[in-house]
Amino acid sequence: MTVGSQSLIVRLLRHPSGLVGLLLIALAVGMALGAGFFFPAGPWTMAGPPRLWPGQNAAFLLGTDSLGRDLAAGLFHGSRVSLAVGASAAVVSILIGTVVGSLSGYYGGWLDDVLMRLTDAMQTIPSFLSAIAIVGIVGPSLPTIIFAIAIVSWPMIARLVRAEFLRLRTYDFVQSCRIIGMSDMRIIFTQILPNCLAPIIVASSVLVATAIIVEASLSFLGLGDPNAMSWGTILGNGRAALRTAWYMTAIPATALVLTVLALNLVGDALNDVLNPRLKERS
Amino acid sequence: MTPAPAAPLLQVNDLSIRYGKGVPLVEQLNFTVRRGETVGLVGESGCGKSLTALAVMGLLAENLRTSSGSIELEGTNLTALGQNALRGYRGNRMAMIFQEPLTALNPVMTVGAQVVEVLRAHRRMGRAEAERRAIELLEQVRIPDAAERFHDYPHRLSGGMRQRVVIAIAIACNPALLIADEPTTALDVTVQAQILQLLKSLQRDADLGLLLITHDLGVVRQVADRIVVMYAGSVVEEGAVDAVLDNPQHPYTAGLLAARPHGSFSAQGHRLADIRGAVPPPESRPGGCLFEPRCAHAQADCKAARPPRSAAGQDRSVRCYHPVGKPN
Amino acid sequence: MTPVLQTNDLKVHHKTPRGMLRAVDGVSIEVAPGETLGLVGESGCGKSTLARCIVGISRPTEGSLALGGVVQQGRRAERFDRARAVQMVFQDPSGSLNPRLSVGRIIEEPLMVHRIGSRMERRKRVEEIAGQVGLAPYHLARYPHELSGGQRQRVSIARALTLEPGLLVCDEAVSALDVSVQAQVLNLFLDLQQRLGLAYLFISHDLAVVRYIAHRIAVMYLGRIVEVGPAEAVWSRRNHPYTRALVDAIPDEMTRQDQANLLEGDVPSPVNPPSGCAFRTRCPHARARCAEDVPLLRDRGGGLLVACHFAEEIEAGHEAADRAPVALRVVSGGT
Repeated sequence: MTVGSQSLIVRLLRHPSGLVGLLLIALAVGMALGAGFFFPAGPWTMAGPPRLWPGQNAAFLLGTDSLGRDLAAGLFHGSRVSLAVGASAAVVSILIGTVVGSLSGYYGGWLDDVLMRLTDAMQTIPSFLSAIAIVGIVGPSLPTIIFAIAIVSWPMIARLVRAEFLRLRTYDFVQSCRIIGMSDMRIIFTQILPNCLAPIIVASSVLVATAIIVEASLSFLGLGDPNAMSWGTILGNGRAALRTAWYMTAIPATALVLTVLALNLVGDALNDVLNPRLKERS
Repeated sequence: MTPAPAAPLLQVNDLSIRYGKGVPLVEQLNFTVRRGETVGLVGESGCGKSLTALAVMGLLAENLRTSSGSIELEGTNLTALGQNALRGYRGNRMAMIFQEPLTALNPVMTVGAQVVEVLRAHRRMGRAEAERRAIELLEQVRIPDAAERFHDYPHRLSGGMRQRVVIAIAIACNPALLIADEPTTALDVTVQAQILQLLKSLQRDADLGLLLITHDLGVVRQVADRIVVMYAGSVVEEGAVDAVLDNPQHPYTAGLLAARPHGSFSAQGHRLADIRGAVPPPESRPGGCLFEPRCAHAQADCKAARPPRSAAGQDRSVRCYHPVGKPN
Repeated sequence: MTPVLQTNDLKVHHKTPRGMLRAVDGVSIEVAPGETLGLVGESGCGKSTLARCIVGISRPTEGSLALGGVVQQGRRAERFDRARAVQMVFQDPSGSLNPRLSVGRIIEEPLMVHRIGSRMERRKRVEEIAGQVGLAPYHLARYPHELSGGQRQRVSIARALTLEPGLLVCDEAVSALDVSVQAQVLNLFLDLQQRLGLAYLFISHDLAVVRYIAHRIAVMYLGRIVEVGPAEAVWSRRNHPYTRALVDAIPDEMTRQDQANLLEGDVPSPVNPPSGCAFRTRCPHARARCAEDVPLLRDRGGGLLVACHFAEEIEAGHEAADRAPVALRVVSGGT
């Protein structure tokens, strides 16, 4: 039940899919952190001859694109953008979702009705189309993209948190807090919320993965931040040469798939590690 | 009292149940249930009484196993049978009633359909015949307007009525042995009395062997012929109900009897005689007598080894080096 | 002395899809300082709703509620002050403690909320209270799941005591415990009452437990009090047929014959209670009048109040039965 953060990491590493997932994520994070060190010139520099296949030239291990930009540099710098967008969009949607879900679940009544109808309304909007629309109206920049992704993903978190609050608020320990005179806000944040962290954490790994995909899709369509090289941008650039130089799309796509896969693996592992009772039952 | 001692209906010999290869949860359990007899298996939570019932039914969880001993039903050793053979016995020769009737019933099937299902699973019966028999069974467990209730879903019935349906399902195939695990604990007191009365009369009419598992000594006193008292995975005392409850030999039985609220504190000023401490979990059970750490009569030899099962009068045994109570 | 609890015609009604649920339908009770009032009834009789209303988790629909002479208005802001007048011990010792907090923190929490004492003072007070309920100092660092059911219930009691309330509402506080542990906790309740002068509203479905611990007993059926009075008077005179049925249904008190006075059927729905006397559908003494007039609590002498039109007759019946030889009792039991 009580999971210290230390033992959580250890237990994740003991879990096979947790181990694989964490290693892959560590790799992606390492690429993001090391991008400036390995490729100080940045991803935009036309460093060599164009359309160099991977392995053709030792200086460009992953080859170059049609403008002669180093694909490896793009991959490393792109991981920064992808991970940053994924993580920030997840954080923003968790914040909105948690606030909406906890107020809704704790108080119920008309507040719940209003907030849940709002959530329903948000969920009926096709998320990718609305992200395109928002970016189209406000203009492509990283904060806009993060906002556009967050605004369509918080309802999932809100529903999750609300369900947890509905369950937990009937527990006697929550009632007992009211009886000792604790204020509602204090009950919500110090008593109930810590008890529903587990499902939020599990959901957030999927959320990050989704956000990365949405960002990549936007960039692929040319709606990404023009000043930021992300995996989606590389994919988009490679599209024109898909028949002749498929490596230009295959390389960023592989990075994307592995990262998303890793996040899902970690999500599964977290689910097992944080809900041991669930596993016993099955 | 009892007629000529025929072969017992259920005989549990030296049964031990383990969690994997770990410490035994239930050890060296011995008891018998004869035809037409009600045996009350009593003990506090964690003493292994429900586990024993599941072992008899062959329903132990996969990580638990009977590591030694045998369970004989009508002379057949159940522990030696495979799951397929056991399935033929369950519901047919032996049936079980659980504590919570709501979870024992399928919420999306009418109660009638659930009785019919059991009948058709174990007896070659046409639909019409099974339905007729199902209504008879519902009447037998005294459900008013049985023909109408037949079409109700479990959630439409009260707790007492649901438990009656569970009982009807249990007796549908005329089992020889009925195991009831805390059948009245989830019910109100007035309903509990009705259900106990029903079980008792069904048992008498069908000459059933009834193994009644409960924590409530009052329930045992009311319906059982013999009592088996369990503590920390082991039988500490067994015998005829009146003999054991009127003159307990084991300090634990005596302690349980004294600990029940009786009389009034405000009028008489007596304190309840509590048993100090709590039941030890399986992994920290003492090496000597299991009850020794909580026993007020413990002496040096109690720490040394488990006391053996010793006869204490006719059809009665106790596991204690220094029995309390009057000698029989 | 001002009663620690006084309710006057308290009602708690909830809207449900099937109609108005009258969980508590006009309850007037009083608990004096240092007194234990036992409240018995079957599930659905409204005893837990009444408890929740008294501690402020739910609001009364009608009627008044005073704690230590202070009338409660049902405002959110009252929560803070009410906490020092009344506290509650719950049935399920595992659900009533936050699984993520240590025992010491759980007991300390009320003091933190009310900003009582410095950190060191609070810690000292927690140890003191833990000692009073029979917990050792090393228990304070443990988490609830590491304790046994009885120990968890002691933690619950300790937490309830930190604010030194005059009244403790115990809702089935010993029902989930094993007999030997139940006796320990009942003894603890009695000790604490003698030492601290606490009053209890002791709610249970188990009449034997309530008889043992309470000075007075109130019997509740479908949202109303049907009998209330000194414990021994309620237990032995059993003026109300429902009280009689409850006593008879206690397995210990029953003879081993099948003839005991068992009630037929179940408790009717509180959404659609029977007219007149709510108990009449299950009552062996019901007559035409019971369907028309709602019986009110009447004084039957000796502090006993009974809500039954035929209380005199029923009490006379008991006396006749008690005088009759055993064989005759078996016969008359069938009525």
